[in-house]
Amino acid sequence: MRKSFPAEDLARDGRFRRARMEDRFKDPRIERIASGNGRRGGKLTPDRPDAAHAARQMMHGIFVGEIQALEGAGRTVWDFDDTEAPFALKLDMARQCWDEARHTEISVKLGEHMGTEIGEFAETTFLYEASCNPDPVLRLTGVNRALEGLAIDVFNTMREFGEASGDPVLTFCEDWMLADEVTHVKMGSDWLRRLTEHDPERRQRALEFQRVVDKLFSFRGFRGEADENPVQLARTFRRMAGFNEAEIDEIAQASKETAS
Amino acid sequence: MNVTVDPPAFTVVDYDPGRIAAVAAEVAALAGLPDDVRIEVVVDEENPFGKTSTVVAGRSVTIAVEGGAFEDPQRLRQFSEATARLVLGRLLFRAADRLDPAFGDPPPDQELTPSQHTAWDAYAVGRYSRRGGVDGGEGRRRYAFRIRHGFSDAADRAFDRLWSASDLTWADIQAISAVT
Repeated sequence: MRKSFPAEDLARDGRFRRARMEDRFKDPRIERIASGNGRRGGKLTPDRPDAAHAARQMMHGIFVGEIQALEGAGRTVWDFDDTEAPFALKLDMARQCWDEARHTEISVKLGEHMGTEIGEFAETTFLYEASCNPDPVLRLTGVNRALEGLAIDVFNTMREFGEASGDPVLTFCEDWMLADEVTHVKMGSDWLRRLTEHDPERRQRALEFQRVVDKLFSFRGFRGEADENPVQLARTFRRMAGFNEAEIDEIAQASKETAS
Repeated sequence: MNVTVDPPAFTVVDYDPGRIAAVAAEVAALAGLPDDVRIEVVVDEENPFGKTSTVVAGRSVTIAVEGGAFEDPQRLRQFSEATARLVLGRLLFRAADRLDPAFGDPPPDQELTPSQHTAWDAYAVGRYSRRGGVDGGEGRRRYAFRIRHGFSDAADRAFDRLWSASDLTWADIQAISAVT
């Protein structure tokens, strides 16, 4: 069985359609908004006129993200031998696969609850692409600290949206998944520390990779702490996941810089 | 029916004004808008969101949409006829209500509460889906209704009444909404 599986070969049925990240980045409408010449979507609250549509779209993004997180963690179990990645790390990734598979099923049910069809919105594979790094430490840092960190922010945003709109199903499900994401981030932080204990240069490379991924996911103000950011940075849950205050401040700052 | 689309040519999105005008005319006929009504569809192609508004003045209906309202959710900046039909169906059935003296006298769109908007939308899209023989996306309409009216059995019953009704007045819509 081959190793390091490219994103183009991920298995999807006819309901799914893929969008390229570069097309999203180059969308002139997004450029215009970023330059301050257009309305921004804003924080996801029930007060938004398009609240239902925006919530459905974000939930579908979570759904495809869960599939890719499952695929990414699964690849990490397979792609490295025990000299490259300890067996205990792969055991953690196998456990994460179990979580992501369950999240995928929960997300499908939540999509039904919100009236969304599988594949209704386009899928980008950037999340999976971040999990294709050939160095297991960089892969783990990019996925478990940057992407699963984003998942904490997204799940908390959706959980708060569920609470504000009086939706007990959404609130309950997001709260459960959020708890798992905190564990996934903590796994990434723990393994980063252990695997780079005697290799500060590798740790630095991994943290730099994480910064790049974090910046991309804060693209054009998608995430931040202002009312105009659809996804809100979840400081409390990030602290629980092992991020220190300086790291959280750095993500907040990067979000501001990438907003324009 | 006299339908115009502004702008007359799109440069940011891959939309065809002629196609939009044709779809609007078909849907307007389905909604029962009289032939003497003039319809103008104004598309802000530089906006990826989907906000919409309608102004009915005399025998003229002006529909303003952000470009994302007609966009294919699977293909960036590409027109989706199915999506456009649903949006125009919702707006034009509501416009037809406003032009019907028997319907009553609802406040202008900008003065409606979000709850009133979603209730009227449910009534409009339910009729459009039955008359047009298309999938009106009942699930997503129900979800939008629940966000405004509550996740409860009473709200679901109110939605079912609005979705399946054909001859409601503005007072009926308000009364059904009031029980949630």
